[in-house]
Formats: sequence, C-alpha cells, structure tokens
Amino acid sequence: MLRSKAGRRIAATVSGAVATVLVASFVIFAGLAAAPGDPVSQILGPKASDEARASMRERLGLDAPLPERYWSWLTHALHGDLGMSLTSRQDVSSLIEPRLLTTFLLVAMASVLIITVGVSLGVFGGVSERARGAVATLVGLGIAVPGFIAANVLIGVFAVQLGWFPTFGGGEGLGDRIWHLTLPSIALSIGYGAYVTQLTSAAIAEEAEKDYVTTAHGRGVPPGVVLRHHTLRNAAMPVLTASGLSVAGLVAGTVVVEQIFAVDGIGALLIRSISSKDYPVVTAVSMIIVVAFVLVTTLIDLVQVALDPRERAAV
Amino acid sequence: MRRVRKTWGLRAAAGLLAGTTLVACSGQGGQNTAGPKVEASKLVSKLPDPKGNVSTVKWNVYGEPETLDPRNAVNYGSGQITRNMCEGLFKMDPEFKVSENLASAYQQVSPTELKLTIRAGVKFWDGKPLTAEDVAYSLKRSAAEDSVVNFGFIFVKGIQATGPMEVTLTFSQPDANFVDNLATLAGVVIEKDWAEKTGDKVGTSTGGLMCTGPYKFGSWQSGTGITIQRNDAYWNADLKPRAAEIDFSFIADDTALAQALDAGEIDGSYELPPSTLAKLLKSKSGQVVFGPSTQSTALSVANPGTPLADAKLRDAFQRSLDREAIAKVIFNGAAEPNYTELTPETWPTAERSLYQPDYDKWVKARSYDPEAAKKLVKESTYDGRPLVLAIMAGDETASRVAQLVQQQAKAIGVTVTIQTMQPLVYAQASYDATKRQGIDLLYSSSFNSRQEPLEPLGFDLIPEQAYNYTNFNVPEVTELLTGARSSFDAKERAAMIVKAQEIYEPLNGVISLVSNNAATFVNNRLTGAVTSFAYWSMPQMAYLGAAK
Repeated sequence: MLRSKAGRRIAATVSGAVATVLVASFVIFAGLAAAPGDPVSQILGPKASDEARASMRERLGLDAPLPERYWSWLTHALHGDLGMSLTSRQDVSSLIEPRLLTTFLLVAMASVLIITVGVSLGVFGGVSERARGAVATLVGLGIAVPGFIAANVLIGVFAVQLGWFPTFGGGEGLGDRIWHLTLPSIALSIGYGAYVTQLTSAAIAEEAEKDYVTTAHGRGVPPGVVLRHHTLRNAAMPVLTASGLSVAGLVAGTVVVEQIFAVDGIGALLIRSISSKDYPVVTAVSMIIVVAFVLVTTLIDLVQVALDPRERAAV
Repeated sequence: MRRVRKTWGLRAAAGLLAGTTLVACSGQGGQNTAGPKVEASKLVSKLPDPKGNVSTVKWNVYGEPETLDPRNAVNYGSGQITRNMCEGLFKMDPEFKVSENLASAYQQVSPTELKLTIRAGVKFWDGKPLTAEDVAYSLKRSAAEDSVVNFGFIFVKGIQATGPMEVTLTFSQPDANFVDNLATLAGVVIEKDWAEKTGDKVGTSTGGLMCTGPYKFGSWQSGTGITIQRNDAYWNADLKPRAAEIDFSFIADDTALAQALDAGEIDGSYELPPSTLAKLLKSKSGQVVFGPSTQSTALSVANPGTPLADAKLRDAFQRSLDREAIAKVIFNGAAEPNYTELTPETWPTAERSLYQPDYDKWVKARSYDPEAAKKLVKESTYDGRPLVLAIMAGDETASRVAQLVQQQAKAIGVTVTIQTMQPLVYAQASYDATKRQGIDLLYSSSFNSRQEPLEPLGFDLIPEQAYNYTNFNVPEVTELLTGARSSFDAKERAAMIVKAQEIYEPLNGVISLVSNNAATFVNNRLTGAVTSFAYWSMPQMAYLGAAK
C-alpha cells in the first residue's frame, strides 16, 4: 500500500519505464523483420543455391513466425542470453562488451562537457546582459552546424594539422582512450551543449525578472547570494531536465560521431548490423540504447519528485 | 567471386550520415623521406624487394571482417587477412601465375580424375604435420552446402585421401578450371583435428584459426583490430616475412582513412576508395600505387524484355559512354576504359595475343561517338520511356558513375532515372529476379579472383545461371564455353572463348564501363608490397619490409 502521492508517482514512473522497454523491443524486432533484405544473402554470398539458402534460414530459425521468434528472443534475453550474431557466429555479448566501454566513455566525456560548459555558459548569458548577445551567437552556431561538419573540422585542425590528437580509433587503456575520444566527445557535445546553454540562459533570465528577485535586490541582498539562493535554485528544474534529455540523446548521437572518427563503439556496430539484418545484434544494441534512455529519463522524473515540495506532501 | 562489394552497409551508412567532406588541408604528419616512388601512370604488380626487417606494420581493411573462416572469407578485408595465415594447395604470384604450394605435385590421371601429392615436411602452427586427411577434410569443407566458395566444386563427385600423402578427386565431367581454382580460397587447407574441435567457432574472434602459413593468428579484438604474428617455423624457406607483426585496423570511413594514412598513423591499405585518391596522391608520407586487377565495373541489362533487348539501343548506349572520362573523372586513374564483358586483365597472360585482335575490334566499334549513338537511337524501337538504372544506396562511386551515364544518355536522347536500393536488397537483386522487377540496368562490380574468363562468362551466359539476367541462351555459345571448361589445352580454350565472344558480344546484355585497377597506399618506410589484385590470393604481408 503506497502511502503517499510521491510513492504512487514513483511506482507509475518505474512501471511505465518497464513497459516502454518491452514495447520498444517488440517494435524494433518487428520493424527489422519488415525491412527489406535477407540476412542469408549476406552469409552465403551471391552464388549459393536456393536450397542452401533455405536450409540456412531453417538453421538460423528465420523461418519461424515473427511472434514465435520474438518470444524466444525475449525469454532468452531475460535469462541473460542475448543469442548469437547471424553473420559473425559470435555471441552477441562478446561483440557488445568491448564496444560498450568505448561508447560509455564517449557519452560520459560528452556529458561532462555539456553539463560544465553548457550550464556555465548559460548562467553567464542569463545573468550578464552584456554577454547575452555573444552567448546567443555561440548557441546559434552550435545548433546550426551539423555534428559531422564539426567533426571533420576538428579532425582537420587538431589531428591532421596540429597533430595533437589521433585521427581515428578508440585507443587502449584508460589514458589512451580518453586521448582518442577527446575530439569525438567535443564533436558529440556541441549540438546538445548549445541546447542546454540556451535553456539555462532563458531559465535564469526569466527567474531574474521575477518579483522576489527584484525585491531581494531592493532589500540590498548581495547579488551573489540572490543568484545562489533564489535564481539558480528555481531555475534548476528546467536545466536539469534539459541536461538529462541531452545525455539520453547522446547515446543515439554516438552513431554518427563513431562513424566519422572510426571509433568502433556500439553505434558503429548497430549501423553495420542493421545493414546485414543481424537480428540478435540489432535488437540487443537497440535495447541497450533504449534502456539507457529510459533509465536517464526515469531518473530525471524521480529527481523532480524529490525536488518538488508539492509532490512530497503526504496525502 | 563476383559482386562482392567492399561497400557494405557500413560504408553506405557512412555515405549517408557523414557525407564525404574532405578537409581542405594537407597532411603534416608521417615521414618526409622519399621512398622508392613509382609512376602513378603505369601499372605495377610489385614494389622492389625490401632491405630490412620491421617490427610492426599497421594496415587497414575496409570494415571489420565477419569471419576469417577461409571458405567464407570472400570479402576484401576478410580474404586479405586470412590469406596471410592459411595457404592453398596451389599459390599465385603477383602476375597471377599459379604454381604448386601445399600440393607438391598433381597428376590429371584422366579427364575426370585428379591426384594431388601433398607436400612433406609442412607443419601447422601447433607443430602437427600436414597430411592427406587435412587436405581432404578442407576440400570437403569448401565444397559443403554452407560454404560460399562451393561453386568451384560443381563437377566434383568425390574427394578422398587415397594415401597418407595423396588425395584423389573424381569429377562428373572434366573441369579444366579446377586446379587453378585451388590457388583461391577454395583450395585453402586448415587442420582437421583442430577444426572438428572448434566447430562453429572456426575463423571467429574467439576460435581463431589453425593453418600452415607464414603468419599465425594472434588476436582479434572485436571492434578494434586483428593482430597476426610471424610464424618462425614456416616451411617455405623462399619466403621469409620481414615484419614480425601486422596490426589490421577496420576504418570504414573514406575521410578518416585518408587522414590516418596521410598522417602516417597507418602504414597502408589496399582497395583505396576513389574519393581518397585526390588527397593521397599528394601525400608526402607515402605513395599510391596502381596495379593490374581482374575487377571491373559494368551496367548489366537486368531483365529480359526491357527496351534494351533491342540491339540498336544497346549499341547506342555503348557509343554514348565516354569511358575515358569515367575512368579519369570518377576513378581518379584507378581504372581503364573497357569495351567488352571480359577485361584484358582477365585474359590469362600466356594467351593474351589470342584475345587482343577481337578486343581491338570492339574498342573501335564502341568508341565514344555521340553522333553515331543519336543515329542508332533514331533507328531503334526506343519510345522515350525512362530507363531505370539501379545502384546501391551509399555507394558514392556508383552514384557518380550513374549520374555521368545519365548525362551521356540524355545527350543522345535517352532518359535514364537512377534508383537506389538498400545494400541488402541490392545484394539480393544480383541473384533474385523478383528484386529486379521494374529495373532495366543494374550497376555491377565484378570480382574475379584469378585470370579466368570462364569464371564470369559461365555465370552470365549459360542458361539458368545466377547472373544470366536476360535469359541469354545461344546453344553455340553454351557449347563453346562448356567445351572450353572441359579442355585442358590452354590455347584451344582461348580460341573457343574468343569464338564465343564474337557471337555473344553483339547479343548479350553486359555494357562494360571500366576495368578497375588495384589502388594501394604504402607508407614510404615500407616497400616490397604486392600491388596487383593477386595480393588477395597471396600471403601479401609476408613481402613487406623496410625501404632502407
């Protein structure tokens, strides 16, 4: 028996998240089945006989009806068995594991950039009227320039001309990895970072014009105190939401950036597996992306519950 | 193998997502020492021999291989890597010449019986000796239903170890192509005991390989790279690898590849995408070498009963194409104009003189002449309906060729519309007629592993074959081609094929565009590289070494 409104909301949030993941997994599975192309053509090459293709389809279980195949995938997945890649005959988990760390590090580095640089620029643009124009210009640039253009410029300047960073690859060992992933994480964070800056700056500017802030200034409260105690605290919610959504979106954004920097993370694996209709790999990787997204958004929801005094009131 | 593309999905995706923005700045990295440069204008099969050893060579293949299992390693990258570790019964040299390797001798007992003598003293990496059992087992594996190279075994009736060091093959009909085919992936030998133990994991990152070649399987870090190490106990004293270790990377983005090569972070790569050539030809850190290759690019009439069934319209097409421009503008010199279905590089070297005269006739008859082409269109039954040309989505080269063809067709009054197909559907369209519905022309790249005209012709011109899209069926041609496959006399074979060519060229639906050259980048610190397409059927990395 849940005693509070907050408790009920938490329960609803969590069950909603689980339902989202389930529905997404089925949609991905069915969507892939509906997509054109036959994975067997990739496996056996163009010279195989029709009989050979048919028997390979049977061996891989591709001839079973879709609901049956989905059910079998789901029951195995719940037991931690993600199955075997159709094209490379490897366990899906052994394909994903080494790449997961690379992608996770890339997302983590980009998140740090977005939250530190994005939020502080936003606060700066929101508080200082003189800086507002410059920040708005930067934001406009960040949103307008597509990630792959920024990536190519970054490689051209910092990797090829100056030689400070490698031009490709994910590196080995932590220090080397961070060095390899610096440019990709900058390229990945530009778009979302601009979005966070814009939202932060708008939220701060909006708070700063409210009566209580003007009153506080009038009472002679130091500006720094007003900013910390009033403006920032009240603007935190939209900023937090925007940052969280950006981080969730980053996971999908890695697909493009990994391609350009030839970083073989799960994004690059996903593209390759989709083009060869490698069901087990596509489903597993998509699920990781969906789960990461749902986790982050659920977390934002729960933090909002914690921060909002109205939600905490006992019924 | 034909129509196996390096442009698999990854590249398609790269093309779609990343475009191909080449950054306009020249590389500063790499060494600036002048290595032994070769003229980019002439074709070279091999660079001069190396002067010393190197510890590590970093080489790129386009995209991570799906498997290194020899019988299924038919893509550019997987085949190249595998051939450094696993050897065939016969071997190829940089000029495509085939000779004995793991088979020390062979005897054509009768037209339908072949005896192979297995070389003594060869050891697998684990120290076990090579025996007839391993050979028979490997050949059966190549011939199996789930093997991609099994088409080379269609006439094989039986494979048996008939002695400790002797394997006998029997045939349902004579197959003069068979012995040479044992120099390709179809004739590669792996260790029987090991393969039976390893099962489904042969050639995977966890299972690895067990072969006899100059390099051993080191490690395969999924998503990062494959490392192979020198086999110091290699049986063949004539081939001493100079590089102790080769690290293969999997960059599949044109821009990233060009930058990594130019910066010297990677030493070399085969199969350079045409879009990287402009930058790499100017690179100070290494050289681009063009070599002879048995690959070609053509437009194939995709169905019977299209407007192109009219020979006049096909001839008009042949004369409307400025092949010189296609080779220069789009392939950046990595291709030569080609005028018949067979490319000159596909003719066996020893019989070239027998093929040349008929080919020269076609060069003249199909030279670029828009005026003559316009006249041919007027004389044809063409009613102005747009012809659909299908290409693979994301294949940038194909897209540029298609646009040029479209322009040149427009100039003679023929409308061409370009249709892109998803990579997997495009692959299916090459053998599944239902996927070719509504398509008039299919852009196709052929991929012959050796100099054997019968390999493409057999698939294109014999009734009921996979690539016979227009239901081409001329009994005399069928007879000549099957006759040639059963004749063990090379000169007679050539004469029969040329005779067939005189009959099929005016009738068949392959409009050839260019003969592709192998395009290779090698860092200035290295030399010795095999630069003809024979690299793909050789332990090519064993020839690389220090330039000084």
